[in-house]
Amino acid sequence: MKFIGSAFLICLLSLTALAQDDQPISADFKNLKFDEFIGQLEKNTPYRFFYNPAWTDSMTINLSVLRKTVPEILDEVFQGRELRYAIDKKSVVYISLGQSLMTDLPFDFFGEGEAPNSKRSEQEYTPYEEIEKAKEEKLFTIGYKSANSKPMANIAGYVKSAKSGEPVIGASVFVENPLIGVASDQFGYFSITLPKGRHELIIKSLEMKSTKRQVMLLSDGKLDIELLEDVTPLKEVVVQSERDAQVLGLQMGLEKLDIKTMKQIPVALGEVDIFKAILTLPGVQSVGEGTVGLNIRGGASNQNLILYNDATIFNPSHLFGFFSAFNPDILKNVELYKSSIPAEYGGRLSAVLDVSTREGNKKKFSGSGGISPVTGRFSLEGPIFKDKTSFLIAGRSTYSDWLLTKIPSPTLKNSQASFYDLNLTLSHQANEKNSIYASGYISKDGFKLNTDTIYNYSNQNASVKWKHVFGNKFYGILTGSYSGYNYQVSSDVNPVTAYQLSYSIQQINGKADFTYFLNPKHTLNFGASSIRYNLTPGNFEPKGDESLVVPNLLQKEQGQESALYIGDNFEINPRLSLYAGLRFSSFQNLGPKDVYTYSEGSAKSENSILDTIHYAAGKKIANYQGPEYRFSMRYTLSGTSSVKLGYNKTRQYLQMLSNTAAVSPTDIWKLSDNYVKPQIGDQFSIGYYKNIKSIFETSVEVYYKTMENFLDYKGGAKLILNHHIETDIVNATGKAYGAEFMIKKLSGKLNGWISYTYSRSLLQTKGATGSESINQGKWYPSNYDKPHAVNFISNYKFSRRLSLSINATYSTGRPITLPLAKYDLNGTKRLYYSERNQYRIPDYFRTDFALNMEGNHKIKKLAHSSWTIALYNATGRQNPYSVYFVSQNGTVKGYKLSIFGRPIPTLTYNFKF
Amino acid sequence: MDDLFPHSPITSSFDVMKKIELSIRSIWLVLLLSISCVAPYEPPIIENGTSILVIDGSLNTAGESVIRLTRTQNISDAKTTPVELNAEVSFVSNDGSIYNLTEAGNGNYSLPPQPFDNTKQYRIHIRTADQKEYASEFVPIVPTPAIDSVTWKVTSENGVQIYVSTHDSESLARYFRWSFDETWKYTSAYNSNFEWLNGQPILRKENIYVCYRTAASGKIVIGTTEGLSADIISEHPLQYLEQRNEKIRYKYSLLVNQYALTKEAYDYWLQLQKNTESLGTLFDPQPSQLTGNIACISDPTESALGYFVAGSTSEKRIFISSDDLPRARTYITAFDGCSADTLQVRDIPRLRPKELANIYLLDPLPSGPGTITKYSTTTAACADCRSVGGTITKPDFWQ
Repeated sequence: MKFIGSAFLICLLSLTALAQDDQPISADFKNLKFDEFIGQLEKNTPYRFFYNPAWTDSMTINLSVLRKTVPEILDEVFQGRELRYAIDKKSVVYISLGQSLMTDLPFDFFGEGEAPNSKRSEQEYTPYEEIEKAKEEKLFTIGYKSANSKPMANIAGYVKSAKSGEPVIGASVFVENPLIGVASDQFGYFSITLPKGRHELIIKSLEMKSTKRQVMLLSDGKLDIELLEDVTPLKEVVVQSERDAQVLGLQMGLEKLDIKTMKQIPVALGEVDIFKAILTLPGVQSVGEGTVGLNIRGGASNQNLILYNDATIFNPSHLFGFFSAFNPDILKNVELYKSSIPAEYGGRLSAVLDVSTREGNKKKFSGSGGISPVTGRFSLEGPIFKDKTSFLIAGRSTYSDWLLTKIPSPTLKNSQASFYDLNLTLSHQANEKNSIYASGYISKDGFKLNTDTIYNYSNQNASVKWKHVFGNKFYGILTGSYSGYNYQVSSDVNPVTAYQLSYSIQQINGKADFTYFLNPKHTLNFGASSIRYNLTPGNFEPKGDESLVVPNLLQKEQGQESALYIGDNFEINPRLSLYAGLRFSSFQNLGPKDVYTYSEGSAKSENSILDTIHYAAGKKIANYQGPEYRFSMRYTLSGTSSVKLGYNKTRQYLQMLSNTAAVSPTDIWKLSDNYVKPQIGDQFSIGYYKNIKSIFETSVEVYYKTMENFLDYKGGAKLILNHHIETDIVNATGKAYGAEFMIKKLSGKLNGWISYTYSRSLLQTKGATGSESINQGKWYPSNYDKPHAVNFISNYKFSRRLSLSINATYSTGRPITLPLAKYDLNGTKRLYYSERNQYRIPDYFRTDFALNMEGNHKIKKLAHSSWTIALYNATGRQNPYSVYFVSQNGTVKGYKLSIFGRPIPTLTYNFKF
Repeated sequence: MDDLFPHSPITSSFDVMKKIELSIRSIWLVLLLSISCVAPYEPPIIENGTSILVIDGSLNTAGESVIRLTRTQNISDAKTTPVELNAEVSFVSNDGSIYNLTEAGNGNYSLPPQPFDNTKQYRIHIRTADQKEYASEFVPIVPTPAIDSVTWKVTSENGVQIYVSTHDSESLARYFRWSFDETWKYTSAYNSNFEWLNGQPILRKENIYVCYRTAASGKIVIGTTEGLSADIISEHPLQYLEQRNEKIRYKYSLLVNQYALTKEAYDYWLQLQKNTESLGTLFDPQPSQLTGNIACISDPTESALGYFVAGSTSEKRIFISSDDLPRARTYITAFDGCSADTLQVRDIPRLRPKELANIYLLDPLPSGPGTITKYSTTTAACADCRSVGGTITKPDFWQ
């Protein structure tokens, strides 16, 4: 609230204080401190007073009054002083410095008509803000005076946006003395337990104006808080929701990104992309540009749980990974857990990426959209029942089909590539205790590139959530969700050989999560979940009546994954808090299925198949279970520094088969079975966090991670339509370790961060022989082992409307296996390869610029718009994406391919109304 | 993998899958190339720039043993395979007996048939001209049982699937490898009945329309009876020929060589089989490094390639005549782009001998009684069946 002072000077709105109880009094005030004076007034009149003692502690009152009203008395007392007062309809007196407060909404607050003489300059403050100030100084009495002698009481409620009525996630609600704080959850809900008495509750949140509430806490009660949006939040680089959160929060390895941060990271194709933004964070790698998989702290890309409004997304990419599957306009919050994964999450080894969309404006209709070189998008939102029910609908599509026809290349002219995605979210607050949220998502990609083969893939997701508040300290959420992913490859140019290959995975998930604010020291989370999987691993079928293709169908797979969990946030003392969680998960691979058995003691191959065992429907083929421990601890060294420890164990029963270094749309998800064992991961991490002068936020995190049953593949493994995939798989052991250093500057005209990561990701096939052994059982680098990575992200604000972002990225080249020589054996030319991943492609380096221009910030504008001019890979360095070899006339030639091998300029237009 | 269900239509879906995998790769390249740049890339040169010795061959207990020594080449090298000359090659038994091979030229070293002791183990020992010493592990002699039969069936797609069957009554051999040579009769696109003599067409003396071609298959075919109660290989798929394959247009012959292997040798071939020849893009399967059981004993940092085995081979030949097969309407041949032309007789004197030499006359075209005014013609590549590598001499074994 740094501008209160200036606001009081500039804003000259005055209003009449209307008092309802104008009973005159007579009294003699002699040598009274201001507090005593007010105390006497309160005793003798119905008026109640609120003021800041700092403004009045030097005052002494000497006054005799005869039959005067309270306003008249105050007028006399404040004569010649800076103090002003205002009285509301309930006879509450607000004393302020310099400017009296509004106790009522100003004329035409809701904009039904234009107020006379209401021409305002841009610098003027909104009525909202005036009210906000009043609220900040008003004393809210929570609960009732009671005989209850407990020293503590609880306040719970929702933090919402004053503008749209949407919940504010991750807002910090805290008091400074003693330092007690909580963060609002995904519903904006918070529950804080404080000593009874008077407190100043401070509420801070990203992109929102901070505010505070004066509360008199008598017993348990409710307090909803509306936050004003920071209307000109231009280009602040904020990754953590709250400045102190990094030092004081219990969580480590958690990165939060909001859409504003993502917007200022320049991208090659002009559209905000959460994956490209996440890649700028330490500990996050990918195998190359234009690929979608994220490798987090040395884990494989399929080891990340990607949740979109609580439903799993199996392929989070469009157009081979050049775009992420998420429409940036409707994203609210992106949370990435790199370590210390809370017990409520499970099913993947490395990380959790929790993406949630906005709920839609509950107060008025609005929309937004954007046009970039390849895509267009639009979203619309608004209330269905004001303040109760809202909707948000968004669509995005590409006009790349049209673009391809414009490219003067015959190959590309005959090609097609297109995608779209649609989102719908509904949010309904039935009453104080019950809210319902529904979300639907569909994405579809189709492409054909100068071949007769057509590729399609699609994600379908739906989720419904019911939140019920049992009481101030206890609430529960029941969630049902469906996630589906499928792809088809088909060709119908020749009717006789027309075919379709299809793959699909479906999961139905039910879960119940409860949060219980047991007491000020303990917050419990517990719940249960169960997932049913149905997979169609591959159907190769004729297409059309004339086709002579003989069907080749892989057996369907079924599985059930269930888990119970409990976690406790325990604040031992203000310096030390810890989180301990236990998740117990189990998985059954279920029939009907025919399973091959192999002879013992030799590598599994089609030649060593012994027998086939038939399992009837619902019969357990394989059964796995085990505990997953989650632990983290924070010890505050001082107000500005802390140390954190974390450990987590994770189990993964569904893995992606991807023999290639990059994720491709035809990768296959596979359930654990008696040959493909579940992956088990352990991660230890330790971190040190320090804020320097409230300007810089620094952190060092070190981690060590082990992975069991990591999937790797034998040389030349075939994954598509393989009836016995186990013969091509190797169970490897993985380890990953690293250190992440980061310095962030959060405030000032120049902000941003620089991070350096040293990390290794290694695999080993221990004890295996023959074809199941890779590099003779020695440790070898994984496909995404990139030891050194430096990210520099910066943003300079020239003015509130103009800012420049400059980013730079460096990383070690990706490991590859190279053919080193060719030779003759048995009359045939063969290639002699290096050991797996023993060479690296050249290092990666890129710089980008983006200039963001916003329209003016008049509040009452029809539409707000912004332009972004970006230059991707400004130095034009030809970073090799891959190295490949082509056989030409008996010799083998090597080439390196750079995707964005020259500077790529883009222009993007965004609007919002 | 293609071998597992080769007689069923699954084979074709595997082929399609291969195609899909390949086209995904190529789509990527097309997509990426459209906005990307490609520059030459030189992979690092191996181990101090020296090439690695390759040892190919085996100790044969039932005939002449031949070992071929060659060197690896850089992958961009267009020259022929370098051979290793002037090496001393010997077989050494574990009780110290030494059998010296004699150099037979072109990197080949041979040893006439010898009475080897089946109870002993043998290794190969090589001293190259630059005084480097190589030796394999000691390997046992695995006697190869005879091939019981080589059979074939017409599949539901009218292709031909060829199988091998064998058994070992003593159950000594449990792992097998087969290699095979194929020989087939084929014809060129057009039958040229005339040739030139002093600028004049005369009847052709030599038939260049029908040829025979023999090629060794590089395909690795392995099998095992491990886990079976009896040491019997029954109808192990060897080779599949599509109905329109030119090899079965007239007559086809297959010569199978069977090798019994140790388990270690079998694993080596299994891995070699998995190493595809596709290379290095993001969407290729991972290859593995494979060296074998031979090491350089004078310099442990140097590698050697090849797997030394001791044993015998057994062989069997079969013939498949097109008379026994359902005929295809068309066959896919090396002459698919061929077409015929015409040559006016009056134009002949104007052509130089060099030009005439590449005009192959097929038949006179009727243009009225008694006079030949023009001939149908084609090129050497379309008329001479030898242009695609065969020979017009019928092989001795041809029936």
